[in-house]
Amino acid sequence: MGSKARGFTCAVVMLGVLQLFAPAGADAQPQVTTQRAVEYSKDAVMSGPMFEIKQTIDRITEQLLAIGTTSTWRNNVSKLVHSKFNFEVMSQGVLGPNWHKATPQERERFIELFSQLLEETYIGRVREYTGQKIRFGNEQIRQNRAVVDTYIAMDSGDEIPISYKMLQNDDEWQVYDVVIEEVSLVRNYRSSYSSILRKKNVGGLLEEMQAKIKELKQRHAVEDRSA
Amino acid sequence: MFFAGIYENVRFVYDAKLARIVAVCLAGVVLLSPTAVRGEQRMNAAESSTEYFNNDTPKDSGLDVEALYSEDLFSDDLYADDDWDEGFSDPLEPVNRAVFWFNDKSYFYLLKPVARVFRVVPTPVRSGVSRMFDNLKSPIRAVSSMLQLKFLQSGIEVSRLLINTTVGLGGFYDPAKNWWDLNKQNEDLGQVLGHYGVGQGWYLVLPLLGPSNLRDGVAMIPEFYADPLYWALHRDGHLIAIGVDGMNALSLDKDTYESVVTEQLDPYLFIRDAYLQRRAGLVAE
Repeated sequence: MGSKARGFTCAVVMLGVLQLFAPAGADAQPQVTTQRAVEYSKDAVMSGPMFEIKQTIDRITEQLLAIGTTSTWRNNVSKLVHSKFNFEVMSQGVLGPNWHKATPQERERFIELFSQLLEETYIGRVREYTGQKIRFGNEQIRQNRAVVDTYIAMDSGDEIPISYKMLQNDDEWQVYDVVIEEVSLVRNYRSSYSSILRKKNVGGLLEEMQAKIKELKQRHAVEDRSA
Repeated sequence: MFFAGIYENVRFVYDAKLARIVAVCLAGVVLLSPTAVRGEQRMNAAESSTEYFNNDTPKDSGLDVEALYSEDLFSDDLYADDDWDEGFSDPLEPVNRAVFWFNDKSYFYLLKPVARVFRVVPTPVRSGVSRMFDNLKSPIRAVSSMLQLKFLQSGIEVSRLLINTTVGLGGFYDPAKNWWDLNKQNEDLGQVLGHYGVGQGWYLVLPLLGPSNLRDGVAMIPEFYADPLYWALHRDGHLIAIGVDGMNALSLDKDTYESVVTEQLDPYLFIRDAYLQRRAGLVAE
C-alpha cells in the first residue's frame, strides 16, 4: 500500500542530478540507442546532449574521488554544475507568471539565489552516492532542444527513470529541466514557490532562500570538517 | 508517550467495517467531479498565461520535424507538457499539515530508528525481501492494467508473477526482468479511476502512509483486500507484514526524506506538488 508513496518520495528526493555525481558505469553498456535528427547524424558520437551529460558525469566523478584530498573539489563541482545548467531559463520556469511581477533586480537576485540553492542541494548529495548503476536510454533532438533519458538502479531493484531536458546555447547543450519519474524539477519548484508567493512578495521569498542557503552552507562546512 | 496507542488505533481502523469506510469515501467521490472540472479550468488558465516565455523560447527555424517526435516532449512552453499545472486543490491544508507534522515526528522518532535496526541484514537480502513483497502486488497490477485495456502490460504482469514466483524463488529474485526484459508495470486502481476521467480530488496526507488524494485513497481500499497476505495471514499477521514491508523499504532508502526536509523551503508543499504531479503523469502514461 505504501509503495506508491515510497516510490515517489524516493524519486523526488533523488532530484535527478544525483546522477551527475555518479560514475559513468553506463558507458560500457552497449544498448544505447539514439534517435537523432538528420542534421546531427555526422558527428553523433563526439557531440550532442548525451555526450555532454556523460562527459559531465565523468568529470564530476573525478572530483568525487578527490573528496577530502583537495580543497578545490567543491569549487570544481560547482563550476561544472554552473556550466551545464541554464539557470536563467530555469529561474523563469520556476517563477512562471510571477517572473513578470518581479523587478529586473529581483529577477537577477532570484537567478543568483536559485542557482546557489540547487548547487548546495547537489553538493550535499555527493557523499550519499553509493555506486548505483546508470543506464542511458534514448536521446531525442529537435532543433535546439533535446531530451536524454537515463535510468538509475536503486537498491530495492527498481530502476528510476530520469530525463534531462536540454537546450542548445551557442553550440553548448545545457540542462533546463530534470524529470524524475514524471516529476519535473522546475514545475515542482514552480508550484511550491507560487504557493509561497501567494502569502509573500518576491522580496520575502528571496529572504527565505537566502536563509536556506546559509543554513545548507553551514551544514556542509560542518560535514567538511568532520570528513 | 507520543506513540502509545498507535497500534491500537491502526487495529481499530482495520476492524472498522468496510461499509463505514466506503460510505465516507463515497461522500468524497461525490466531491471529486466538481474538483476535476475546477482543475481543468485552472489548467486552461495556466495554458493561456504562458506568454512569459515567448521572448526567450527559441523560435522554430521552420524545419518540419514534427513527424519524428511526439509533441509532448517538445511543446512550445519549455516547461508545459501539461496535463497538469496546479490543477489540484488542497482545502484540507491545515489538517494535512497537522498529519504531516505527526508523520514527520513518527518518521524521526519511531520509523527511522526501527529501519536502522533492519540495516544489520545485508542489503541484497533486504532487496530480495522487498521484491518478494512487491511480487505479491503483481495480481493487482495485472488487474489494473486490464481495466485500462492495457492488455500487453497486463500480460507482462501475469508473466512476471508466474516467472518470479517459481524461477525467482517466490519473488526474491527478478528473472523476469533480468532474463526476459519484462519490467514491472506501474499500474494501480487509482490510475484506473484516473484513466476514466476521475480527477485527483482533494490532496490528503494519511497517517503513517503519507501523501495521497481522495481518488487514490479510495482506490487503496480494494487494493488492501486484494493483497494475498490479507487472506493468508488475517488481521494481525497482515498488519505485521505491512509493517515489515514498510520498515524494510525504509531501510533501503537513502535518507531521502531527510534531504527534502533540510533542502526545501517548505517540505510540505514540495512533497505535495511532487506527489500530485507524479500521479497525473502516471495516469497520462
